[in-house]
Amino acid sequence: MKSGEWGILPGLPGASLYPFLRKVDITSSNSYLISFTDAIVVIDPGAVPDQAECILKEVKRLQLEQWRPVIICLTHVHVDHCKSALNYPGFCLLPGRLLAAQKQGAIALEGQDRKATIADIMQQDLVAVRVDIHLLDGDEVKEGTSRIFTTSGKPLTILDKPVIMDGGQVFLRQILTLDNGDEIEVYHTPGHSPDSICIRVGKTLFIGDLLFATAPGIAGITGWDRQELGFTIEKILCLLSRGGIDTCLPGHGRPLDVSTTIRILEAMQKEAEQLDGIEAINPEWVRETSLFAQSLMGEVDRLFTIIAGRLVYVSHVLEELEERGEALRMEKLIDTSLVDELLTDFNGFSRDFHAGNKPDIHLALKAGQISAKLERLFHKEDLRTVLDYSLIRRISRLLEDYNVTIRGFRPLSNIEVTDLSIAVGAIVSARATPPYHDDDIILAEDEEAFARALALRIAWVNPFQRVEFEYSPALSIPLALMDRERFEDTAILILEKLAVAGVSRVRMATSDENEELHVIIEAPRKQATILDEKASLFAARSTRLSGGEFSDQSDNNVYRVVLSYPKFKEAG
Amino acid sequence: MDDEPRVLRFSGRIDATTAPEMEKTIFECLGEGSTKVIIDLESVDYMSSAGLRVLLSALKKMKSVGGDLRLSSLQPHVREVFEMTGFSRLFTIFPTVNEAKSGIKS
Repeated sequence: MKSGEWGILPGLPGASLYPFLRKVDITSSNSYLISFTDAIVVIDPGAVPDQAECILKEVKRLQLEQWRPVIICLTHVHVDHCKSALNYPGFCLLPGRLLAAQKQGAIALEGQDRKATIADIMQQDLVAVRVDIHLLDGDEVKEGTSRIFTTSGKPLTILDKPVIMDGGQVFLRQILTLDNGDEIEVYHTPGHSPDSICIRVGKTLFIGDLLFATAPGIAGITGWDRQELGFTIEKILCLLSRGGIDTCLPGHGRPLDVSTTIRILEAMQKEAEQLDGIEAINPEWVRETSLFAQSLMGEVDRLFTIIAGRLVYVSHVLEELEERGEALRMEKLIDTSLVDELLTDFNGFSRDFHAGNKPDIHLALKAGQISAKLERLFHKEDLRTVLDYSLIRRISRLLEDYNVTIRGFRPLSNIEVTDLSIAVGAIVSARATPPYHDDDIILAEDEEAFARALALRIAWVNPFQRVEFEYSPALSIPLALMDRERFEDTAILILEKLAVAGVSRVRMATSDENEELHVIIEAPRKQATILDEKASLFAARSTRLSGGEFSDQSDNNVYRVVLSYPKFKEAG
Repeated sequence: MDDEPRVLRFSGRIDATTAPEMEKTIFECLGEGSTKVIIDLESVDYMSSAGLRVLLSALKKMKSVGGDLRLSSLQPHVREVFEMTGFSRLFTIFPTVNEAKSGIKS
């Protein structure tokens, strides 16, 4: 099957199929055009003008050959699948057009329901439209009920004919029969959305967005139902196992054979089990996640650049020292070219977003895609043999936090009772402590061990070597409630920014004031901006995840931030 | 050979997309026989590891011919990358082009 080319539709003599396959994105779905003797069917016209034009050109050509009505059949009413049918002039004015959608979807379209159509999170306008055929409008077994539509002299019969599956479940189905007897079966497959349907023509099953229903940023959208999805997957697996279907055509992505579809559905059953309790993907979540993505990706970019750059530096120095083997090992620890490409890709996307060309949901999903790819490149244990643990831990946490968030969950905070003064003291003393022991290189047993010990020493870049730390811990302060590791990561970020800004002295202190415990970090200002907007947002969020609140109390002469935490109160 | 150092200026982002162009410019300059080069980064607001690799290659090439390669006017983000990666140990860096020019060896 080739996009943009007509081919036979197996299992239905006289019918042919024209697939319009797009690259996978949420802007617009695939479209499928079927030429029957007595009708033209468009499954999901999509949402972009050039796609609409292409489909309409074929429809017009077919109608000139032999005039037939056009049935636009929607697998569901998310705007990326149907927007062209709503407001593209060529589709709206199509002679002999009938628009068909499952009943709940039809009501949503007629009522301009921005939530059900996800026009809200896609930040798109929605026009009201009349839906001519409300499909699968009952949820009880009503075998035999018929309706007849007359479309320009050609009858279209709709018969309710549910299927009983192997486990006894009822699979709601309608059979649309054209004048010459050609049949189109529509199955009610809620889960991704309440109005989702699968459409069977001959040996081909058009499955809409079924295979994306557990995907990050998709699971949890308005109308998503984990339990219904589970039932639907069981029914479709049963249907596929009965034979008679060769190909599954999805709303996004390439055509699939049945065995691949079955594999994906079985994996989805397991994924769906993990999705209990996910957050609703609504405009507020989208906006919040998009903001998180922007600040997080800024820090991801910074840390990955540091790691990649440091490995380049270490490799170079090792080469100069004629340790070629270890130098080569450094180059292989991470694919720096691919990291660079991914960060550049995200930056380009982000630029488009800030120019107003993309909605928040796109940025959120793009960041998810990029961070998943970065996670696959990031071999923690290998990198730990060279780079300091704090860097590795911070990146791991960022990628995991975003991965968790885009899947609809909240990042975990490990809030524990903590001695704030000890926690801060540990940060201060660690700043001057290298991640290796002086004896390691002396005690190296062989050349390889020597080269590794050497690499570790070279790789330790201490940004604080020109910074004098002053630490004033408050005496006898109560214990705090905080995620100590997250607090450390936030404090280190702030200290690194101060160090590279050229400050020569940093003062850290703890205090007990106003019912809270505070960590104060301050330094004389050497440049106007220490933390830019993205870094500040990130630091604030990171502090919140550690259980505290971030406050920038700087003035023109002194940079001062305060991280405030609740006191631990014993029960009783 | 002219004693005046060549000043190469770059701008914007130096990343996977733009680093090859920077590499081409620098190596064309080295290929013309320049042995005193100042790379002015005043208008560069972002540097990725691809950019660092190009600068390192240029430094190695320059050292091999006994030349002098200096950097000037690093902006905060680029300075941060250099400090945090150890690259500030490898290069001679000046706050301005004029300061980079003064004392450059002939």
